[in-house]
Amino acid sequence: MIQVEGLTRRFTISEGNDILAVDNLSFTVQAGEVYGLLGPNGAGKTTTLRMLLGLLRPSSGRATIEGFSSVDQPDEVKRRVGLVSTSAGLYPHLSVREMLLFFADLYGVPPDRAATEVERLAGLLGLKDLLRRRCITLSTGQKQRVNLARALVHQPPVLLLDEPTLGLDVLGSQVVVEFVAHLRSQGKAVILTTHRLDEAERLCDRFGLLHKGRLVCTGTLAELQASTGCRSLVEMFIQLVQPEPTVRAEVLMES
Amino acid sequence: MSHQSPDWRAGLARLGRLIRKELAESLRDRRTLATLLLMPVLLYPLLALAFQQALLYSKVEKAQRVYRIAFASEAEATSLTAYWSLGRKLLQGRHAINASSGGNPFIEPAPQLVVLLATDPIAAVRDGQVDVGVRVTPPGGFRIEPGKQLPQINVELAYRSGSTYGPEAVRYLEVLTGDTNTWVVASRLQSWGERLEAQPCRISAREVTDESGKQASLVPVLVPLILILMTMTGAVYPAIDLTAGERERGTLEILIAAPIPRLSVLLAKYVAVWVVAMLTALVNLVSMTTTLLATGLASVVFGANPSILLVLEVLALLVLFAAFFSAVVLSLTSFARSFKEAQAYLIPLMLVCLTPGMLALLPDLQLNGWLAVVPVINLALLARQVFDGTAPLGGAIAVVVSTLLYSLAGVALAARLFGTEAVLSSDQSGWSDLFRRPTRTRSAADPSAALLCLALMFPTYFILNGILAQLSGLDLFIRLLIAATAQVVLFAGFPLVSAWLGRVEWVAGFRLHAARPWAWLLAGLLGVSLWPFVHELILVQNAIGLSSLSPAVRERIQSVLAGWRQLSPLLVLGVLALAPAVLEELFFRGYLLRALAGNSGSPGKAILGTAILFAVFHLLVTDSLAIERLLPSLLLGLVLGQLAWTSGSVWPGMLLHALHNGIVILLGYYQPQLLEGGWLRDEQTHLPAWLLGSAAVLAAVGLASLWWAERSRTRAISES
Repeated sequence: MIQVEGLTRRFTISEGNDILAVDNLSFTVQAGEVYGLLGPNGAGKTTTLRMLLGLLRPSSGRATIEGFSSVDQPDEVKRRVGLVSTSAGLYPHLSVREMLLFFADLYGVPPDRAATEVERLAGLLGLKDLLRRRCITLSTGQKQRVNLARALVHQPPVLLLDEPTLGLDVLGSQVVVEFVAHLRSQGKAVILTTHRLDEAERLCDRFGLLHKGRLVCTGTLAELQASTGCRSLVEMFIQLVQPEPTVRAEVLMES
Repeated sequence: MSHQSPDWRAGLARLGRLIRKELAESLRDRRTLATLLLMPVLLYPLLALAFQQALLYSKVEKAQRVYRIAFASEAEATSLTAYWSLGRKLLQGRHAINASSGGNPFIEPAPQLVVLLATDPIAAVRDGQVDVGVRVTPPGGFRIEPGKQLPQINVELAYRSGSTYGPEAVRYLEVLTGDTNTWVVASRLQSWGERLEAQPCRISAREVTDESGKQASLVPVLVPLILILMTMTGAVYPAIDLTAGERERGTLEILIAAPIPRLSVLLAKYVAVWVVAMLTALVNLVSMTTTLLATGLASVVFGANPSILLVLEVLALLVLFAAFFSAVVLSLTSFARSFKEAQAYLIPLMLVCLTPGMLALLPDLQLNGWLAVVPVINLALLARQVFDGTAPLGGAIAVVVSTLLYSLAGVALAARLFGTEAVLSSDQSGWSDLFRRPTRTRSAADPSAALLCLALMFPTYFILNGILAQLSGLDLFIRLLIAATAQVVLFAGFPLVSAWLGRVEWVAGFRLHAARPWAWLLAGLLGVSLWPFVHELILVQNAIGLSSLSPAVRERIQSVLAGWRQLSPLLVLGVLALAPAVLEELFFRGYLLRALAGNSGSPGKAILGTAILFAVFHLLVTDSLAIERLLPSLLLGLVLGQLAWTSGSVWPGMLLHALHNGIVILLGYYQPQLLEGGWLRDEQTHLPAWLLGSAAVLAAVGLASLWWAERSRTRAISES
């Protein structure tokens, strides 16, 4: 479903001063699988997602979704992806229904089908009473639920969730957790980036630990435990970001 | 998943929904509503109040004009005031005869003279105690008695430099003295038995109105500036909100993550900004007019009788102004990362736009030549000359076309800037991205890049045409060479640079693929058979009065034709038939059509659009318009577009175009011989039936084959 091969992105800060944001990344995600892309701030998670979606051009390497290249067929890729990100906002002066219908329109969903889909998602995410409210009046948790609905309104087979629980309270996070479980049951391929490692352990089928743009280890929780000797993701994470991380990463890679 | 509707109506309906969303988002915002409604509703009554106060003040001043005059002695004061009061009566009598004293501050109402005595009248003036100080030599009073010699008095009137009333009072006293002098001398002559008119030469002033009886109005001066200001201020807030605002709200990323062409997103935003700018300007105009009517100031601004025509003119100009400024503002704000940054860009823009706007109000500037394509100046000039009733049609069309092209370019630019990587990740640098070549080659130019190229070409074409017309003194051969070079620069230079910047593949991007033999055959058939119908079409248009070329221009064309005949026919053919054919095809059917049609299966809209633009380019003949060329060029453009599309190559179109041009040029070149041999009568008569008949057969075969070729092409594609 999602295939990433040797994906690399370099940013030029000034003449001759490059930053390697993503370095030779390769992984795959199957339908019905939730892949956790984990790493500290600045590890390159968001840049990776943006390249997957065709919003940023990779410096080298390629990413495909259902066989479509994010560079050559960005529209085909975009049609197949729903994006939920921390920074995603809402149009303050549109009502929730208008907001969802607008995005359905952007994705080319016919109006009658869009209306039914909005009702269905409103039921699923508890938005029925909010549909007529302007977005500016919603609480943070309500806004995030609208965002989840917005990402699903065109029924994409792939979901990219960039820190979807950031800034949410326990109840809000729980909605996201249930949402991801729902996506898996629907056979969607999901990539989830998060800081909440406890949550990631519960939600993800496989993990990729990203550090300074490089994928330092990848596998299921059991595989990672076996290879690193750490019991939890938190332990692995701390090991990863401690001083001289490159040395540690190499140790991890070798193991 | 993907749900693409093949129907263009569905596409249009979707654009309508996008526009509705942008409008809802914009108009529900309190800040937009404030600029839209509150400002104009409060501003104009306040302005009018201030204006009225000023007017009232000046009236009060008029009624109470009082001059304080200092004399050294009572005798001097008595003598001179008596002399002046006679002058005052004479002055009023003089103007009663002329009956046009209104507005003359010396007559209606007459100034009041306040007489003061001072030991040193000059010092009193210096101290500002009086307006005029009088020194009489010899000092003392004087009398004028019948039969006695007239006295010789020198009266020095002193006033303080820079004082408000001093100079005015002195002028008044000079007038009074002069009138009395004349009367005294005349009556003395009369008493000697001389019949003499007191005023051999009499001057009177008359206020004149123009032929329509209108009072001079401020409309041509005020309205263009008001329109610039209003449409710009109206566009600013929604433009920032719908572009930089997207980024601030965090909706930019999810918006560009959707599979919708950025041009349609920006087009929807543009229409929304345009509507809000129009509404703002309308509310402003309504509020202004209401205030003026309510305060009785309307006649000062609009002249005696504002007409419905004036209202329509203002509305039409409003549409144009709003179209332009919305695009400019949008292209600027679409690059901004925040409200603050967008505002920072807009302040210089305001100044940049107002200065040429003011310039255009100079009465010497006229809407012709290159000024018709200079942004902002052309709009302000058009507005002024429309209200004056002096706008030339050709110039007006050049303004409308160039303004629409600039707006299109502005939207295209906005589409390129909006949501670029630079905007998304602020660590990247800015405007240079526009000129940075992409890393990968592409098979067709980006539509926005091609439109930008076109928008730059139009004014250049216009200016080059103007320059060529100025060179009439040069040798014809040199002029032809310059014309050919200009064509190369325009139709090859611009698209080549644009293609290089966009890293467009030369062969694919300009449709330079080799053509099949059938395509060449078709091009040959159509090339030799279409010109008679163009000729007939022009005749028909002339017959129904659709001709805009003046006899002077026709005469000039005839003299140019005569000039050509001095040169080799091959040279004339090369420069006037072959070069334009090759170059125009390279740009219109090569670069532009390829970019507009993209990889879509249905090129209808792109072919039509290219043909319209092709026709517009042929509309302008130096400084006049050849309306009759519009329809033939459009039809020819359609055929050429379809041929390029069906054959997949730009070469056959060049052949068709060159043959068509060549035959028309040769007919002009050999016109005398053809007339002599009885082949032609004159250019205003129909072609012989046998010629039309055979051309019709050839053209029908050609067009039918083209249709058949296109049908089999699409069938082959759908089968594969």
